[in-house]
This record gives sequence, C-alpha cells and structure tokens, in this order.
Amino acid sequence: MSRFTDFVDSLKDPAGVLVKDELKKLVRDGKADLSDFVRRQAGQLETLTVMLAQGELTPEGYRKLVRRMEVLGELEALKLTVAAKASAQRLAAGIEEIVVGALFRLI
Amino acid sequence: MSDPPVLAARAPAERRRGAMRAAWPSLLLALAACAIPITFRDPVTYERLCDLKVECLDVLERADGAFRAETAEEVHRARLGLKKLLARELGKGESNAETAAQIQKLLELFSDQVEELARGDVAARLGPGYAAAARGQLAEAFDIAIETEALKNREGG
Repeated sequence: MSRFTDFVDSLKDPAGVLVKDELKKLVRDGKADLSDFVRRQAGQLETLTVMLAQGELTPEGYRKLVRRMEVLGELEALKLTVAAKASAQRLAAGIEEIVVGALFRLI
Repeated sequence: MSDPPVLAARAPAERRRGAMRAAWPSLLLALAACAIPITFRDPVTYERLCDLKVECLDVLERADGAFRAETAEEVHRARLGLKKLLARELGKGESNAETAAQIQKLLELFSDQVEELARGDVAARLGPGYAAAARGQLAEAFDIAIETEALKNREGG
C-alpha cells in the first residue's frame, strides 16, 4: 500500500466524517483522467496528504494548500472557457473566409 | 435583341439588389464572429505575465526564512506590477473578462502567500514544506494564465 492510502486508512474517524474509500477513489480516478490538469491536481492532493502524514505540513498548512488548489481549478475553468471561445472564433472566421469567400463563388 | 428602355433603366437597381442579397450571408457571419466575446492574443499581456511569474517567485523564494525591509519593497513592486496588469486587462472590457479574473486570482494568491511570510514562523505554523509547496502552486497558477493568453487567436489570423 502507498503512504497515501496507509495514512488515509490510519485516520481515526469515529463520527464517519471522512469517507475514506471515496477519497482514495477520487485520487485514483483523478490520476487516470484524460486531462493533464486533473491528473496533476490528483497527484498534488496525494503529495500534500503524504506531506501531512510525514509532518512536512501542519493541518492548517494542509487546509490552506488544499483551498489554493480550488483556486487553481477556477483558473483552469477560465482557461477552458477561453479555449472554447477561441475555437468558436476560429470556426466563424473559417466559415467567413473559406465557405463564404471561396466556396460560394464556385457553387 | 436589346432590352426595352424601361427594363434597361431597371437593370442597375436589380444588380445592386442582387449584390446586396449576395452580401448578406457574409455580413451575418462577420457579425457572428464579432459576437463571440473574446479578445485577440496580446503579446504585451503574455510578456508581462512571464515577467511577473519570475519576479513574484523570486521575491517569495528569497523571503522564505527572512522577511526583511527590502523584501517589503520588492513585494510592493511585484504587487504593483500585477495591479497595473489587472487594470490594463480590465480596460479591454467584457470580452477579456476571463483574463482579468485570472489576474485577480493571481494577485490574491500572491498576496496571501506574502501575508503568511510576513506573519513569520511559517515552518512552525504551516509546516516546513509549506512555503515551497505554495510557491509551486503559484507557479502553476501563472502557467495557466500564460497558457490561456497563448490559446487566444492572433488578430488577422
């Protein structure tokens, strides 16, 4: 077992607040995702959790870094919006230039 | 055989109407392209983001462990650079909203990290690995904003 799963399994959670299997699945699925960003973030969540387990991070430090990961997700979402708009802009320009400008003259 | 005089007089007007009808699809598509609210790639934005990434990370790296008076001055300069860039991007209007929002988030991430360093005892409060991990996140945040600008289309194709 990895340090990550060892640590998650070792957490005492009498109230059942932490869904351990779901956390492990989140990281496992994220690391197999098609998106580079999601894979990196899943890897980072695993790394930060291991750092917490090893005392490299305090619980407060861990919480802060995980919250900053949310900001990275928001930045990536904005990037994807721009990518979609830029594709639509290229398509509209392509239709204008190739279909209207050239094809319409031939048909 | 030539057209009767009345028909001949109508011909130029018909041709104009025909030309106008033919121009409609082109005009509509041009309007559709303009309706997609996104600015073109701006080399100045790209360059400023790359420069600010280096400046901000350098300040944080050197401040790690010792937040001195000159650190505050360097932080002020880097933060001012981000604020100036934010004002520039906001000035481009709604079609640049995503880039402006990204720079606002970069400013918040950088400021948050500076405040933690200024409070002192980062290693004791947040952990010995905190500062480097937070710098890595800031570097990734800048990279996302830089990639975003690079994704935009060049003006004129």
